[in-house]
Amino acid sequence: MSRPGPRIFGSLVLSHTGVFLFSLAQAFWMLPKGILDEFSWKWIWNRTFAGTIELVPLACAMALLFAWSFFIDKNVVRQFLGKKPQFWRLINSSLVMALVYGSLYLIVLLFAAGSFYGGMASAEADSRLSSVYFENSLAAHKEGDYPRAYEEVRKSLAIAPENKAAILHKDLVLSLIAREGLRESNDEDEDKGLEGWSWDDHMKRANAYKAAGDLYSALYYAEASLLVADRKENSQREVSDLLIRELREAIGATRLSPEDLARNRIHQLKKIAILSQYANKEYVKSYFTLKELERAAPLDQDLKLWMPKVVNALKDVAFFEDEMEKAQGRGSGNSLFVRFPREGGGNRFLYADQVLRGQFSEFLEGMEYLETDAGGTTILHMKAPAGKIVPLLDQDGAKVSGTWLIQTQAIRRIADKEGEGIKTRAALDVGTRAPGEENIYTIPVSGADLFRLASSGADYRTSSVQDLLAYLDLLPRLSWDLRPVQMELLRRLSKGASVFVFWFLAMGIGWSNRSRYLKKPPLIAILTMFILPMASYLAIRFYDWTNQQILAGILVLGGFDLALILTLVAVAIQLVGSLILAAVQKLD
Amino acid sequence: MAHGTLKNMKKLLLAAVKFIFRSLGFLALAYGFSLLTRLAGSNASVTASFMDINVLVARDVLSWSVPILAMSGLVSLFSILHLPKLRFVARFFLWMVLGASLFGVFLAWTILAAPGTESGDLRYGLLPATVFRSRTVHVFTGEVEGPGIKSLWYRQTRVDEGIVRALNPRLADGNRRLEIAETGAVIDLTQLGGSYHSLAEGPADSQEELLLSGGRSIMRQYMDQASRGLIWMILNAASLSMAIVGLWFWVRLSRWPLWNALWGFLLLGFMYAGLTLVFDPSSLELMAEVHPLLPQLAPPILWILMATIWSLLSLLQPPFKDWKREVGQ
Repeated sequence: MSRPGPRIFGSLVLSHTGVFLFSLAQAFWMLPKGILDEFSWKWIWNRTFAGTIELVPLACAMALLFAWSFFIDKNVVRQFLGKKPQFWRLINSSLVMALVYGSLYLIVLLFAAGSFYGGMASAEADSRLSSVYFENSLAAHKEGDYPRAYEEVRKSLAIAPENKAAILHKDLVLSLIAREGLRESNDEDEDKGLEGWSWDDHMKRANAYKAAGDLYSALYYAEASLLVADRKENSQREVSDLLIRELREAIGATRLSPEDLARNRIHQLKKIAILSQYANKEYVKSYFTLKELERAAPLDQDLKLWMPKVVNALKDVAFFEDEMEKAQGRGSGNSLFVRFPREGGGNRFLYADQVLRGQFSEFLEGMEYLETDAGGTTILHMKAPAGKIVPLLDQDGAKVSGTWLIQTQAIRRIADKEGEGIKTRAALDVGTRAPGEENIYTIPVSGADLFRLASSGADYRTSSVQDLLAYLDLLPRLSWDLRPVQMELLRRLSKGASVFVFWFLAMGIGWSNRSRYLKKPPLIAILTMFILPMASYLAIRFYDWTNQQILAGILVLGGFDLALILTLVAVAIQLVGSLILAAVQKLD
Repeated sequence: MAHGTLKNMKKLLLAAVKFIFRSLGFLALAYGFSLLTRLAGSNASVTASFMDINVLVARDVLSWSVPILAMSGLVSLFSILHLPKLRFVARFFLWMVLGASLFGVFLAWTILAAPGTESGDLRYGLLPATVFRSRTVHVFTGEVEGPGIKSLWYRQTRVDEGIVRALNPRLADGNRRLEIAETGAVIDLTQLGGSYHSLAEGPADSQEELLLSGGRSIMRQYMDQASRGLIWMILNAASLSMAIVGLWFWVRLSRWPLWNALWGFLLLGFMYAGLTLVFDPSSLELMAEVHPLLPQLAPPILWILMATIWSLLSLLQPPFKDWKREVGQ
């Protein structure tokens, strides 16, 4: 153990372990109350690693101060370097270690530290979002709206599937829905009263008559089966329809009843209506007409040909609600507010309670859009429960650079009982839009960028360095203040360099204040182990704070370029100063 | 012998000069730092006059000058106390220089304590035509004109009133809050990311801010004490400089210099805690009940008592020459 290297290394390991355990304890202490159990460990680990990274300069300073001041004396040095040693020969290996370790720290600080803060933020956001859905569900349950209560608790569980309270609540809501459904079906059975037979009974009887050759009786029971077919079960209707067609063909096409002829005529007219709606770009209408006809005539080949075209065209004006539902587990956690300049003067504002990230697109929840003229008067004010951000495509299907659309019209896959298939759409408080454009708004920024912005904290500590660099171009386009981003970049640069500064300073200060009586003061050494972290912690916190004050002052007064240059100059001076302090030390 | 004494006297005077220059250097640094933060927090047109800012900065610097002088004094002790046969003279000499410096600080404070300069504290620094955000509100500043904001749009996240335009919102609470007359909403400017306050100082309850605000409050109490009259000024300056010189006992307590430095650091912490306790409103009230003069007398009495005990204890310590050799200084 005469070599100083292992002592310094051991001291570094000990101090880093101490800092890690301190960060872990701090994470437990600081765990926010609103965090759900299943996200708490995620939050704790991310907080621990983020805290450890912040405290690495402290760990280095403590370890080196203690090692150079207490573990190494001139006898150790002489054994290691011979009779006439020089101090620089003693510290050169430590300098190499500082360069390697400091460089690694800089990389971690720039590229990995943000992800730990991001992990904390996402645990908090997921907990918050899941709790909001759960609370909505409880409120709906209280109001007796069980289907909505089920929907909300399902969303909550999609984010936090192990939330026991939500699981129990979901079971309760489901049992309530089942009980209500049973009551409803009993009521419906009483209303129907058609010989008390089910669809199966009718179909069995129809097939039995068909097998016996009594096609008219079979047709009677097949048509009767349509009356008792489950409204929600398309397959029953399709089977009944198929049997009816088969029986009618068997009986003879010329024998169609007047009702059948009228029905065929209406079918043809609706098909013509689809063509007309499509031509008029009323894609939502044409989609629902198609769906209606498809249910009545599933074998119609025209409908099969048209459907993909209509769905494709539909994507330009509306989106399906289930697309957004799938994205509800991945929320930004923060609200979003951006401003774009308006052509001809004035402002355009976009607000969303939250940005959701789907597999291929981003969605805005609780959105608001406002346009003002150059004088500041509001000329358009729209609110919508939801919006989907899609790229604008040209006639060849290629993306138009720099322009995206927000669709505010969400539709269901199929029309409900009332024939209304539109789930949400924009509501205009002020102003009007041209027909066909009520639910489409253009923005000059992509959904991915909006999601990234809404996910970042106000001080950008959660952002990676790639994101920070991207913001330098993005934020001015959205009228966001760039200074927090610039401040974070300067802070990381300065913080990264502080490892080198503290490393060199600690060597110099530690050695110049070394103990000549290593074996004698064990009690003081033990006391130092408690006081040193506290003193170093306060000193480094104060150093960081002072740095931040000066950087912010220069940034506000002179701008980013000046602040960057002065940061680099200050870092260089500190590095040179601390190196000189280490280099001028003597062995005796 | 005479030649040696003359040489030592020269060293003594040189140490005093070094102390003064060291203190002035630190004070100049503090002045620059304060000027930077004050100027950064306000637009040039916002501040009533450059003189106002200078008065505020000078007050800041005076608030920090006592710890600065204390640190310079302690460092200077190392360079003069080794002088043979002059330990007592050297210590007395430093005590006098330090006391005179503190007296000067107190005197400057009373001259600068002119009324009407507190209102220049404009540390919000919002840019025009920019979006700012906090957890509860988003703000787009339309036109910023001097200290006022002519128009802005804001959207509160937890309120369903939508995006609102506000004209000529009123600045309140030392220009830290904006009051919107149209809706009754209040926007805390210090919480908006991007304001100077949030860029530089972080949350108001951060450890640094608490530590510094505590320190500032103690210094303000001291300055108020000193401004009661010449006799109080002298008493406080003398007792404080005695206590600082008395710290020498603690600083060379062991033969491990690092430990001594840490111990000195810790002692400053204890002094800070002690002063916080003494200047606590409830303590001041309690002392005033015992005797009306006790709140003013307590700090100097405390320091004179401590300095006497520490000075007496230092007589028991090994000779400085031996200690110096053992610690390798």
